[in-house]
This record gives sequence, structure tokens and C-alpha cells, in this order.
Amino acid sequence: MDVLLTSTAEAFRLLFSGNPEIWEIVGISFRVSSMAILAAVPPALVIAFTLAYGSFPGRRFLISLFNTFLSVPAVVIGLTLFIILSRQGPMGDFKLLFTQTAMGLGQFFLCLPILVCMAHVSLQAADRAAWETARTLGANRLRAFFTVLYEIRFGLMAALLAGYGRIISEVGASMMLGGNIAHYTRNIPTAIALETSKGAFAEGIALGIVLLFLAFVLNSLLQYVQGKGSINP
Amino acid sequence: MIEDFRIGFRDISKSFGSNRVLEQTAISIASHDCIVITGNNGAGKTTLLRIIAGLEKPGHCEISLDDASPEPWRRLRKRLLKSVMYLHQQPYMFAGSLLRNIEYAARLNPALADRESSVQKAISWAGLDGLESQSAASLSGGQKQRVALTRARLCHPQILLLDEPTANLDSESRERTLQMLREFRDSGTAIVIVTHDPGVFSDLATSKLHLQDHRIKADDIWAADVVELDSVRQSKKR
Amino acid sequence: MFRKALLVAVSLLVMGQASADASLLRLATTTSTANSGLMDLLLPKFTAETSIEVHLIAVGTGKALRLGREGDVDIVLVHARAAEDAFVDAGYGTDRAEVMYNDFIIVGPETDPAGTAKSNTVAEVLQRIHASEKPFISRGDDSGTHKRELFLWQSANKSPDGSWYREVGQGMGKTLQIANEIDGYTMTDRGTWLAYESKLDIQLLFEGDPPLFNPYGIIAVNPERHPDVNYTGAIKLIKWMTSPAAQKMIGEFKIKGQQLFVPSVGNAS
Repeated sequence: MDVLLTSTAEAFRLLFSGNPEIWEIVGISFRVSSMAILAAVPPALVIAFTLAYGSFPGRRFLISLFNTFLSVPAVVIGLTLFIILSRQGPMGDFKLLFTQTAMGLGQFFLCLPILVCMAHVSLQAADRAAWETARTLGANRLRAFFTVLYEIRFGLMAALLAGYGRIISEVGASMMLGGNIAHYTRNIPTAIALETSKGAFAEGIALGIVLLFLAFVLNSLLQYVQGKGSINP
Repeated sequence: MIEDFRIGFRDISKSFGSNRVLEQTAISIASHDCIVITGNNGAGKTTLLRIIAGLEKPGHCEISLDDASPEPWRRLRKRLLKSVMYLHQQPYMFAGSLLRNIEYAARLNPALADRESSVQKAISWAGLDGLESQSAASLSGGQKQRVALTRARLCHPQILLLDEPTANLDSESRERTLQMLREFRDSGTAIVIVTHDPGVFSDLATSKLHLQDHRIKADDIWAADVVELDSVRQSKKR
Repeated sequence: MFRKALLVAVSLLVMGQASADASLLRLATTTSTANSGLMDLLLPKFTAETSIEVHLIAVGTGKALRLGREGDVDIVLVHARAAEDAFVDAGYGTDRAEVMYNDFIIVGPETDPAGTAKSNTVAEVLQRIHASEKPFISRGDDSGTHKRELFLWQSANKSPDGSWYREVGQGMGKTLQIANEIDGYTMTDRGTWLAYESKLDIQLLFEGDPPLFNPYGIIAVNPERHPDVNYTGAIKLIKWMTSPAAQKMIGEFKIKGQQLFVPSVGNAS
């Protein structure tokens, strides 16, 4: 109990005294995760759209495949990418292992299935007539695509928040692909793992508080967005 | 005004899985036409409209424009989407205000000279003045129908397809819809209406077709009055 | 289309990174080394002198050597003498140098139910634990510490098996915490022990026997095997680490007033 109290008190002191190392770690987390999700959104939307409105052989199979990817543990994605990006792997020449790019790639593949599945569900729940009305009014595919996206914007926001929530707090893949290099690929979750292993609980708790706060903000936004979505589907 | 045209759809076939809906049937549509199509539930009326609109891929279909040699549906699909307008039974309202819904259509028609005044004119034409900022989702069924027709008007379609346009309307809205459709027809737009209630359109219709056994038949049933049509339906049910 | 876009994006990122190569050195080391804080003291000085930035990747010894073998890092700093020699003999590494050593210690419950404190050698300690069948927590993660522990059991002519011997597959800190919770014995490096000591009830019971000394070797990844590793940078780091200045810093590095590492150069035992 004593350890918990003193560590938590120290954690708050670290956070609010503007400890540069901690805030640098927070910054790296946000930068990498934001890039990853921004990169994942366009392909995820295209895939979700194809799955929802396309008709081609293997469509059902792909849908269940993406749903399966939802529950693939992060370390499995991490390990797979590790093998691919390692110098002896097929993409070894790119020298990506232990870079922010590798970490971002891991997070990209972690949030892609979430974005695809949640966007797909939103698209299925949306009236197909939205797409058809846009098309019959003379909108080209791209225009109709954006029209429908706007119609399901609340569902998409929810997907975005859920995807972000997963990757910002993910430790396994980031540790494996980024290598937890100080000032470079050390993000919030890998730093927590490190500080804990060093016995520096206060630093771990301080970063945990940042994550907790972030999770709270994301969840509140999610609640708000979903509430909005149900009023005006 | 719409220039005179004639579009022939030939050899239309469509199945959903093993369920055959349309089989080698044909329909010809020309400017100023108002074609009323009847048929039992599940006869394929909606499917036929959606094929004509370019929304539903047919198993087979050939199209000839103004007596040119026929081309496959696939090749003309883009044209159909541009020049044919399909109105859902329950018109879809985009998120946002009534004005946004109508401006959306106006923006898609590059031929509109003065967009803002065209939109205003169209709104007045439909009697929707004062409702511009209202959320489209909260409009009544009749108002939504009129928004859909206003959107259609701004697109100047060659063909306007309506799926049960009066099914859920009170008599006043129905009159209004008929009046608006008449103006479409007079401006040269061809209208194709699928309905269970052909009597409503008797003044407007220029020809009447019946869809049965996967085929469009010229309408011998039509000559008989609605009562008789009902008896046909009844006998089908049995 | 999407795959193409991804490839283009990746190649763009790569081009940005490849240019910085000569001034970047990737060093894989063990978690305990990184956690001690010694490298945080040394590496910035090295960077200041040579303008070579060092990316420190902390993993287990087994993983560190593997990263070197695959050419994913330029240089490794580990403490597992037998594995290091095998690494060099197989041609994966070159220019091995001894940098420093620290020592392992045996910790356990204050009551010392196995009576280990009376031992004269670490072999005797292990024999007593073995005979008493009191819980012993093993890293069980193929780390340098784990390898050393297994070697010591072998030297003591005892095979660690039975329900009293528990392999946890965790890092040193976690292992210490587990030992603390279940009143078990374990072997730890002194650095991790000093970091955790104040949070634990278990006590230092045995230290100082030469088999517990733990030499650290630094090895460059062989450029003949991986032509694009930063070999020049690696050699610079090896020279620097064994230089008198760095060796002095290593000797003066202290945690809670205790010296953690003994420099190897000019100190060879």
C-alpha cells in the first residue's frame, strides 16, 4: 500500500513538474500512433466499402478473415513483421527494424482490421439507398463514396477512436519492432514495461496515468459520438 | 425541355441465385411517355426499374439508343446512371437540412446555369418554401417525396423511374405528386411508374404494362377496371 | 493499388533513413545492462566525441546475439562467455573485447531456511537449496543470467528439477518480485538487486565467489557476413569503451553508493 501511495504521489510530481523525458515519450507515442492510424484510414475505408457494396467471389471469406484479425494478439503481428523486416527477412533491405516506421507499421496492421470491421458494420447498417440515390443523381463512384462516408460519419468516428485506443496502449508489437530505443522508439507502453522492470514504479505509474487519462477521453468521445449516431443514424 | 429520344431495352434477363426474376423481356421508353407497370409482389418490377436505372447488374440486357445498333448494358451503364433517375419507394434523405439535400443534386448537374436561383425555384416549385433549414430526416412522407422529386428535377433526367410513389401518401400529397409528375412528362421526361394502384395514374398514363411470369405483357388486363385487376390478384393468391 | 501505395510510402520513408546510416550505430545489449543506467551515462559521451548516435536495444542475451547474427544490429554488448565465443567462432562476430564485469549474488528469505549463508562456495549454496527443496526461482528465459545459473547448477553436480524449482520466464526485476512474494531463493545480478532492494523483504545471502563473476564482452557484427553493418562505428565504440577514460567512468559508476561494475582493461583477472 505504501509503495502504491508514494509511487503515485511521485508520478504526479513527475508529470506536472514537466519532466522532459516523460513528455518526450508521450510525444513519440502520439506521433507514431497518429501516423499509423492516418495511414490506415484510407485503405480501411476502401476495403470496408468493397466488402459492403461489392459482389465478388470470396467476399464473405474476406469479411470473416478481417473479423479474425481483430482477435490476433499484437505480439503475433509484431513477430510476423519482425521476421519480415529483419535483415534476413523479405524486406530486410529496407532496414526498417527498430525504427519508428517499423513501430508504425505494426500499429497500422493492428488498427486496420478494427477500422475495416467497424466501418463495414456501419456501412451495412446504413441504408444502401444512400449510395444508390447519390449514384442515380449522377454522382460518380468517388463522389458517392464520400457522400456515404459522410452519412456514416459517427460510425467512422467510433471506429477511429476504437482503433486509436488499441494502438496507443499496445506494448507487444511496439517493443518487438521499435526496440524501445530511448528518445526514438520508446513510447508510453514500452516505457512502462521498462520502468517497471527497472523497479522505477513512479515513472511507470506516471505514464500509466497519461494512458488512463487518454483512454478516458477516447471513451468519453466514443460515448458522445455513439449517442449522436443513434439519434440521427 | 428534354430532346426527343427513344431507348429500347431488349433481352432483359435476371436471376438471383436460382430464382429467376426476369426472362428475355423487353421495354421501350420514349420522351413524353408515362408507362405504368403493374404486377404481383415479387414479380420483378423493382428489379426491372433498377436495371433501367443502371443500379442493378442484369444477367443479360441489350440497349439501343434512338434505333442505333444495340449495345450491352454494361457499356451504357454510366449513361444510364447519368440520364435515368430512380426514386426509391421511401426516398432517401441525406443527413442535414432539406436545402443540403436539394443543393446536393444541383451540384451534380454541371448544366445548371445559376445554381442558387435554380435551387430556389425548384423549392418553390415543390411548395417546400420555408422548410429549407429543417432536418430532412424529420420531414413527413409527402414532403420527402417532394424533396426527392425536386432533386430529380434539378438533374433533368431523360427517364424518371418511380417505385410505388403514392403507396404511403394521403390524398392531398398524392394529388401534388401527380401534378409534379405531369410537369415532368410535359417537359419531355419519360416516366415509368411501378405500382399496385394503377387507377391513381390513369389520367397521366400513356401506356400500361403488366409484369407476369418473368415477362412484360402489353396490357390486356388494363382495359378492365381496377376491380377486375383485384380479382386477378385474388385468383393468383389462390 | 493499395499495395503499390504502401510500397511507395515505405520506400520514401526508407530513403529518409538510409542517408543517416554512417552516423547511426545499433547496439543490442542485455536488459540488466540497460536498466543499470550505465549506458545512459556512457553513450551520450561517446556521441559527443564521435557524432555517432547509438540506438540502444535492450533484450535478453539470446535475443541480442540473434539480432547480431541476423545483421539487425551493428554491435552487441552481452555477458554470456560461452555463447559469445560460439558467436565469434561461427563467424557472426569479430573484434571481441572485454569491457567490464559485475557479479551475481544469491538472495533469499531472511530466515534462510536452507542455511545457505554458511556456505563457502556458490556450489555449496546450490547444493543446500537442492537438499532442502526450498523454492528457487529461475529466470527461465534463456538470458545470460539464466545461462549462468544453469552452468552453476551443473558445476554443483545438481540437476534443478522438482516442484521447488520454478522457471518463470520473466526479466530479473519480475523474478526478484516473485521470489519475494513466495519466500524463494534466486540468483540476481547486483545492479537489478540494488534497484529493487528497498522494495523487497528478501536479503542478500551469498556473494563474492569467483564463479559468480560476470564478464561483459563487446562484439562487432562481422562485416563479411553483413556488408552493410556500420563496422567502422562498431570498432570506434569498442575502442572507446576500452579506453582509459571510459574504463574510469565505468569504475566510478555507482548506484546507491555501491560500485556496480569493475573495468576489465588493466584489471584482467
